[in-house]
Amino acid sequence: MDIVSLTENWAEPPGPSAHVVVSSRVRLARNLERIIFPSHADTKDLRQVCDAVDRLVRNETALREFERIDISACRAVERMFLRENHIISPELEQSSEFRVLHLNPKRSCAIMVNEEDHLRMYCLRSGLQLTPALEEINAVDAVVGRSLRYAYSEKYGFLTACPSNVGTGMRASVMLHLPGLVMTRQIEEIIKVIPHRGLAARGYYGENSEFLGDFYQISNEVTLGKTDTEIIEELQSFIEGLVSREEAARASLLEKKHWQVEDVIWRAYGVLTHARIMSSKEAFQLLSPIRLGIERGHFPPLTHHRLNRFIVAMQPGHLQIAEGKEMTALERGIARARFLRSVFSELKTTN
Amino acid sequence: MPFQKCEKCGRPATHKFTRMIEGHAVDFFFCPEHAAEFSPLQLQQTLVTPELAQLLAGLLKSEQGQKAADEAADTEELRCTTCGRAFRQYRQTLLLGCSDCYRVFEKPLQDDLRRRHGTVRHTQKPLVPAIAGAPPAVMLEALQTRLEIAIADEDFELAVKLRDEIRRLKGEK
Ligand SMILES: [Zn+2]
Ligand SMILES: [Zn+2]
Repeated sequence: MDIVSLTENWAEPPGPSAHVVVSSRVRLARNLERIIFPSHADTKDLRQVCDAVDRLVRNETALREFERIDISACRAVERMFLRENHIISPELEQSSEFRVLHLNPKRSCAIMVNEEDHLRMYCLRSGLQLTPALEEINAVDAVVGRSLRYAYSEKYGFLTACPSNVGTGMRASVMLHLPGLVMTRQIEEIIKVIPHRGLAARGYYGENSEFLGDFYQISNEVTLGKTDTEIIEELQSFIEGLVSREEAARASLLEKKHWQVEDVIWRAYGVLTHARIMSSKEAFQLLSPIRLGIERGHFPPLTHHRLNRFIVAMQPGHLQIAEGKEMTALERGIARARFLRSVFSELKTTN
Repeated sequence: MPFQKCEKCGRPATHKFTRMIEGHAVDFFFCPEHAAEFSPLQLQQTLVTPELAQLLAGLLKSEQGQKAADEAADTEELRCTTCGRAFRQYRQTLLLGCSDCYRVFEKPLQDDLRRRHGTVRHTQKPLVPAIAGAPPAVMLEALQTRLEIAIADEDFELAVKLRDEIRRLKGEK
């Protein structure tokens, strides 16, 4: 199996509100009845879950096209590659035997086996598409739940390894690019209200990551006491509000700080086309204003989703697979600078 | 002097965390140690400074005596026989070992659930399946299954509701 051919689907066709929303993702956590959760399971349990899902995927018409990838058999760099493409979670990347991924042909939807829970099923869409993502993954859940018995209680709903997921077992998250709110210094205040809405804000890399390149992942924290549709509707309306605030901030920057912002964009372009060593943190900081410059029409051939691909392609696993060898941090910095220099030097601009 | 206690350990709280629950602002209080689990952006300082908190903690300790400490220790040693996991381990990893843990650790888990979700109950889809014009036999079967699960879960509050609904349907038939 050629891991390199597996790239996620969301970066390709642009979705709604692509200028602000990178992607939407909905995942469901499910466990099988009467089997110990993966963190505590022995080999026999893990294998039992794997086999049950394998059988199911083979037999169900709706799932037959799903591709099976044995994550345990992948090399570390391949697992890293899949995680950077948002195809597997960091949890699945780190774990050992009997970890399997079933991925649909469109790369929009997958079942991860023996992650923190027996099953983690997700749908990933480009732009702001929470409801379509929920519908797609619910369809998969319905097929799986028809054949496998889930651990479920009337009182607590779907029983998950971590009580923070119990109930719907659903986490919906949206990746946003908010340079306008950062530059106009409104972001701190927004981050402060997020937990009060039963939501959480994380950085580009998810759990415990810092906010890089003005990227923010916002997701629901509450999974109990509300239905999945209620959670999605609340998140959707919060995100729509953020998108309009971001648009307003960008408009006001264009009016009041035109030259300051232009300067930031073109300086970023200057560094990207000339630097010889680049850390991924610096690259994030530079690509953020470039993303803003797309909207201002400075880089006509560049689209938001192509830039999203650059962000994925400049990460360690991708660089090492492209170069065909393991690299030190310095070597990666050099390779990253070379990669960004080549894509940006070829780019037609209005400079 | 009135002061709030930490939700997790009962020591004097130096920080406050507010969450909207069903339209009401509900405050949760934490000591410096447990406040560190939150992002500083999510927290507000209370009137109690860390120094004052330490002083109060000393007073509090002698006041509460051994009883609370013993109870807490018992909870920590509570163990699920299905997966072998102790509640103490859950405290460290925040992961339960199996679905039975939800029953075994039910009592100590309530606080965690409430803090995280603002509730301790899953919201059900309506009691009767929302299939427009579903034949009563189908609804009865669905309700009967859910009644069995509710009784197995010892969720008698729900069981009563389901039983009434089943009676109502049977009566109408
Ligand atoms: Zn505390
Ligand atoms: Zn257990």
